[in-house]
Amino acid sequence: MSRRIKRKPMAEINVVPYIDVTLVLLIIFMITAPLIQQGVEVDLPQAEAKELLQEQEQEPPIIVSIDAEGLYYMDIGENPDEPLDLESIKIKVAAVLRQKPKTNVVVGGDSRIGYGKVITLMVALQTAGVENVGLMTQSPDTGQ
Amino acid sequence: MKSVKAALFIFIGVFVLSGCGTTGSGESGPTDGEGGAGNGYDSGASTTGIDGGETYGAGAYAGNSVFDPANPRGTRVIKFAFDSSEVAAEYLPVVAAHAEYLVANPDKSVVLEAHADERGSREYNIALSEHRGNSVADLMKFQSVSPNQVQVMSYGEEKPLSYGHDELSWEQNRRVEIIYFGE
Amino acid sequence: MLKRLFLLLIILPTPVLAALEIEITEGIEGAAPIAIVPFGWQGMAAGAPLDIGAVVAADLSRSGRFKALPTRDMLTKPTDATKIRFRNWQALGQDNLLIGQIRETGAGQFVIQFQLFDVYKGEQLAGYSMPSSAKSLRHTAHRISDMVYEHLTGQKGAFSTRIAYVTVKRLGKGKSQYRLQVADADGFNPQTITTSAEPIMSPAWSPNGEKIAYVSFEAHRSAVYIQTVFSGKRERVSSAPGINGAPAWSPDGSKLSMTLSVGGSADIYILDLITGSLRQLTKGYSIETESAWSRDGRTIAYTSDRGGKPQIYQIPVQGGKARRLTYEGSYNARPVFSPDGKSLAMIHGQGGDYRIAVLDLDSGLLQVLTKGRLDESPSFAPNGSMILYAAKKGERGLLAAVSADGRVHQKLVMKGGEVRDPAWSPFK
Repeated sequence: MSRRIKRKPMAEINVVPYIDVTLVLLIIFMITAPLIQQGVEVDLPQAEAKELLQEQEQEPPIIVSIDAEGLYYMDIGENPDEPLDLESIKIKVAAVLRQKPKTNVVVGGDSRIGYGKVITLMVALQTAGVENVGLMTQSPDTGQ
Repeated sequence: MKSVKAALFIFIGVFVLSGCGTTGSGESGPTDGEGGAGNGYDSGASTTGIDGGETYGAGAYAGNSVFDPANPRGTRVIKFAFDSSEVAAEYLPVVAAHAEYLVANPDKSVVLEAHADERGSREYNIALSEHRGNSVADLMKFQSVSPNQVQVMSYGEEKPLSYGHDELSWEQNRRVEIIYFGE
Repeated sequence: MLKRLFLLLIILPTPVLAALEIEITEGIEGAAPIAIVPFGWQGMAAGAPLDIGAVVAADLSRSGRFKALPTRDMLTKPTDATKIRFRNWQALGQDNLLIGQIRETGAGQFVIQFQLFDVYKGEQLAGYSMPSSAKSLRHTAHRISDMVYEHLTGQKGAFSTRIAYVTVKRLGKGKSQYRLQVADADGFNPQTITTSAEPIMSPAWSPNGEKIAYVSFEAHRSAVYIQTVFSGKRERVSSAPGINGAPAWSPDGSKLSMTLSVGGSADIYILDLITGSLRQLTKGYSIETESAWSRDGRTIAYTSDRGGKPQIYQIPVQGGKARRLTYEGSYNARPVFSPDGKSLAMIHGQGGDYRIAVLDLDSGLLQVLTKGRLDESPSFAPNGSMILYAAKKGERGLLAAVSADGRVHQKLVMKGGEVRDPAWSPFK
């Protein structure tokens, strides 16, 4: 008799540790997810260099560059040598993405400009609908 | 601060997990409902179509097209089956009564306005309605009505009595109207 | 003053009231992207009298083979070739680019110049300059569409052609007003060429596009008329006892086949328009109607119910043995040959629905193109790309068009009236 009484609770699975583990895993994922994104942005230039080259043959990415004075330029539009404000960059990028949603956008920042300028630009691109922003290791505009 | 954040994550996590269950079961509910609503709409639409047809034609013409055995000549409209120019048996007394009257009154004459429903091609329907008119005219001529007293006008689907797109309207429109000159 | 106002009212051209509006209800997935930049303007007025770019864009989109880039998505709007940066159009994924300019050369006189480019090769495909009066600007725009279409597809464009159709307005008390109208292929510029209180039917364009043959019941009985579109002059070519219907022109325009029932039952007759002689082609008590000439003018396809149900038959123009062409379905009527003569469009009835189908004359395969319940009166575009037909929705009749492969569907809706019996004009 006593055996039966002891075995009876064993028939039910104790889900408490299971929920514990699930929730802990969930928390780990939630914390690491943004970290992974940030990490990718930093690692991008070298890791994606080859990929971009491959895609370049069919779909050249849109290049948004920042010169030493912090002015923005784009390789599309009326005149690529004319500085643009963030708003017109957003409009142009959004137009391209409406027609070709898979277009890549890369940012080429001058080495002397501040981190903040790049972030502002990337946020602007993100609001325009760009999913992945690549970073160029050297801006083509830094020739001078 | 951090512990508060962690607690929030847990809370959100639980919410997400439980949320999955509810949306899953909840989803079938609204879809069923939508399906029902859709069906309701459909039947509603077709009903209004039929209603429209009735108000247009049947009401005005019902009295005229129903065969009255006591007064066969009171019936002036002969109806036909789809893509057929055969005069149905029930209308033979009608044609006979008109023929009798025409034989008795050689100074009277009729125009047989022949029509078709809107289905199929317009020109074919003109020819089809003429066959209907000819069927009635031939029956009258068999009963010694002079050919001069009978004229067939075929209008095909151009002059419908009822404008609906359903059998109820089409039945009204597949017809030969017997019209006396000077009436 | 009042008198003057009244005069002015008379002089002013009547405004376009009943324009057909075209909407594309279903398009092709793989339509080629093309950017049509709003045309530049050099003239006295502040803006161009017509947005030619928009007309061309609408034309090309309507064909279903092109997808015009919305102007709001254009990164730049060059109007002259030196300002083009192909990179911009490549980034937008466009295959081709059309730019142009409208230049005012005198009062109401313009020169329209346009250039078509291949965006990926970065080279010009075509460039033209053409004069136009203010009145014909729209027509010029359609001609530009034709040229672009031909350059890019290899097929002649049919945008500058016209369509004829019949409109019906119910006036109540069983009275109606019927109008035979002619409009541009995009539904603009409708002009009434005949008005009647009795039905008008079956318009058919002469092969040179100058005349229209049609059936009118205006004398309270059917008669076939031939009317010159430009002058409005017309002549009654048949008013035999019984049916006078379904006129069809021979490809050389010298003969007109018709359906007459003077011999007791509807049969096909051929009227020689030069000599005036009439010859009966088919005989018998069954219905023979809706003749259509083959491209070589040697045979005629028509509807006959000699087998009990309406089906399509073909007979040599000189007379002889008729051959049945359709076997699928219990109702096939109103045949019309495609411009290349290789197929036959018709009304195909099956399961209570009447739809437009195309029969391939070589393989004998029948393809149903439309999805309506009461589709009728098919008419090919002169380049064979589209079939215009009449459909019914609610209590109204409207026109619709389907591409010859059945992939593009359009609806032509006329405000405040019923429209039916369409006929697409030949090339000019």
